[in-house]
Amino acid sequence: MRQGNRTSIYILVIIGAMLLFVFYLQHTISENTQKLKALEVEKAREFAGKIERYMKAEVKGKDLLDVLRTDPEKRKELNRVLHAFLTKEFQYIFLLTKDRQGHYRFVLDASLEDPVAYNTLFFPNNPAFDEVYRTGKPKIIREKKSMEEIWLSLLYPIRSQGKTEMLMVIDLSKAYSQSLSSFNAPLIRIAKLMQGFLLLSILFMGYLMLSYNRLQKQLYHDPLTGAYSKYYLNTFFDSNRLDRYDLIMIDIDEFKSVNARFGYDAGDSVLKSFVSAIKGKLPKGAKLVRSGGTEFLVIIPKEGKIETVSKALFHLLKRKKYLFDDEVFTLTVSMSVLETPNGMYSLQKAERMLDERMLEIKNLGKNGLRFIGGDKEEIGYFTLDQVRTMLEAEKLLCLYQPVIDTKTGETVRYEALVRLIDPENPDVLIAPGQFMDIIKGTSQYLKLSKQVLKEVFGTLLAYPKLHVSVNLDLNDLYNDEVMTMITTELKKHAGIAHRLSFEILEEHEIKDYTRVQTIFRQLKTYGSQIAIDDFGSGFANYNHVLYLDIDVLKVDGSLIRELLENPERTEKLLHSIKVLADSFGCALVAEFVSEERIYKHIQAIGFEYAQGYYLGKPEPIEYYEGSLK
Amino acid sequence: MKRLILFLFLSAYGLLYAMDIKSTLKVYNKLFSILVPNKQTVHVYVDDPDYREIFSKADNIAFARDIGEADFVLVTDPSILRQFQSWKQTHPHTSAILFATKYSLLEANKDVVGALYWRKGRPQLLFLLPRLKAHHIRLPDEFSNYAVPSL
Repeated sequence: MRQGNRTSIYILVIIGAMLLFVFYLQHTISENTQKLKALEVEKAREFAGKIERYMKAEVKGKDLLDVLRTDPEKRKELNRVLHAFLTKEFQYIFLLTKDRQGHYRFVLDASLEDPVAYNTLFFPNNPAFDEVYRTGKPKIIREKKSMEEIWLSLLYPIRSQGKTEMLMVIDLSKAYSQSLSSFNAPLIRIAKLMQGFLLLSILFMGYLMLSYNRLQKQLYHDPLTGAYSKYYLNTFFDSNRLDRYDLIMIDIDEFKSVNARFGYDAGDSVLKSFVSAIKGKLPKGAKLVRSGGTEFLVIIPKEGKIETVSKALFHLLKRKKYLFDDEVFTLTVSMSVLETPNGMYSLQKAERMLDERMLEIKNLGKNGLRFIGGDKEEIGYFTLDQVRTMLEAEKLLCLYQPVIDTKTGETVRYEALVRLIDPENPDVLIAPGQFMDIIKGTSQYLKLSKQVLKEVFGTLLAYPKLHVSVNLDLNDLYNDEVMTMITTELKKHAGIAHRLSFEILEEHEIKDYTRVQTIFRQLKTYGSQIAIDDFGSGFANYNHVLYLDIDVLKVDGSLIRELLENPERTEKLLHSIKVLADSFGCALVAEFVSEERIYKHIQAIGFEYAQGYYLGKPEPIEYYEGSLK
Repeated sequence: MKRLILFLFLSAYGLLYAMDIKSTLKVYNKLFSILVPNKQTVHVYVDDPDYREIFSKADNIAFARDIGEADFVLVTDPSILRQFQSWKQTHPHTSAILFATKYSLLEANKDVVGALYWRKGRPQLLFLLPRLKAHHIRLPDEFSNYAVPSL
């Protein structure tokens, strides 16, 4: 916005300077015209002097007026002389004298076509005639406007023995004045046209600036709440470095219920009030953007206050009360916060990270605030296109993490864990956390599942004694293609089914247990085992144990980790899970066993199996089982 | 826009035209008040179409059909003088005031009391005192500068 205004101001200044130049040009041209006219007046004065000297020379020392009064031939001759001086500049040249009554009478007249006879009366109707006659000093007078032919008159006294005896009148024609003016007229006209054009340009620029500002205001602001618009967000980061700002994404939880209960007008009113509350809490230089219906983005200049500000906002918005129809209610919000790392320039990436963290909060029951650190590792997310390319090129492999029997310490099976291979550097393996959320719900997810299954079947065939567990999403099992692929392989290679466990990633709520149980039974018919992954978190609840025929429960890593922080209570909880598992005939696997202390705990509780970095990192199968060659 | 420009042009032209007529009428009304005093309606004998148009705008001026009806004869060319001479032969006591629009017409006939004409681009008003006297006309002081005993 500022850039647009600055450009317009520069243009206006340039036009203004050009306008001043044109005014100066016009003034100079007018001044030159005036000088030209002054030169003509001076010329008339010189002519008058010459005529006087000539006439006096002609009468050879006699009194000029006496000669002219008495000698008609001399008058004729001098009339012809005067006529010689008549040019286009001089409309009339004539000599007057005063009679005894003080009336002016013609003595000479230069005109040959329409001469005025000697002694004819003349009424000048201008007191300047008498003044020049009296003072004997020449004078230039501007004639009255009604005298259409005359521009200026030079009144030149012809004196004898200290007295004015005649008055020479030289009338400069108005036509000549106009021709002098017209000499520079084209320049004046061009200057005036330029003036007009530049003035119009200024007006037009002003109009454009106003329109531009009005339009920009409309584009930059959300009309309902007054917060900045998504368009502004993009424009803002076109001219500002992203890594100079931290970002907070705020989403109002369950806003639909407000609209449903109180109507859309109330919803709008709540949004306005919500925005107003945020604005009041924002530090200087921060901006609030409405990036979606109930989703907002706060841009805060980096001053190390992001944590304080976001927490303050979170608590404020949770406590904020809204009144409608005599009902007071509060709203909860989910907030993801990105402390933008140095060198991060992609707003799209930042928004994706915030979105993903927001999704996590929503999955965990909303009403939460989560931070994304400034570490670059965190931002190494891939786009769907990049993942698609890698899958199409089958840039994928499985690492295997051993699952240990806690009693014997022997590896009983491996969990196959998928990795994508960085196309730019084959030594770099990309963990699922960096791409899984991007492809969920897309056809690429199914493609990935099928490739993983293909890899696992290959490993099972290559290593006849190996037992492998593979993760599958419920949606994979619902998919006919995937199920056909699994059943075909199991039928084809009868010896591998009992060495294969399916770990069901339970991210979706099971609505139809009968359907799931049918699928599980089908797999178990071949001899495979079913495990529930991440038991104790999310949707993996007791209903699964109740309704499904499960062989293994893999307890969620977050619970296992708690053994370090809160060992007594966690042990009690894990004991109860152990009792539950025993009751239903399920084996228990502890995940995320990252150190010996945890391992000792789970051994003590009676977990049959354990896996984690302490027991073995995910590695290529050759690392544990040796190369086939 | 075109209509507006046309309207402004016509208005300006009309204004100029009106001013010209107005100033001429003003001068002649002044002359009538001097030369033909005590007449509410002055009967003017004039042939020239331009002057007829100007005088037609005035309420206090009526056109005389012939010199006999006229209080004031505007001499715009020698033919008017000839008409006057011919009328005067049959009506020697005519009281019509003759006023010329050219200096030469003033010179040409001794019955013409004055003239209003242009010389060297300047308007000239001229009265001849003896001729005014013959009609018992006395000029106001403001016009005394324009009155001469002879040409």
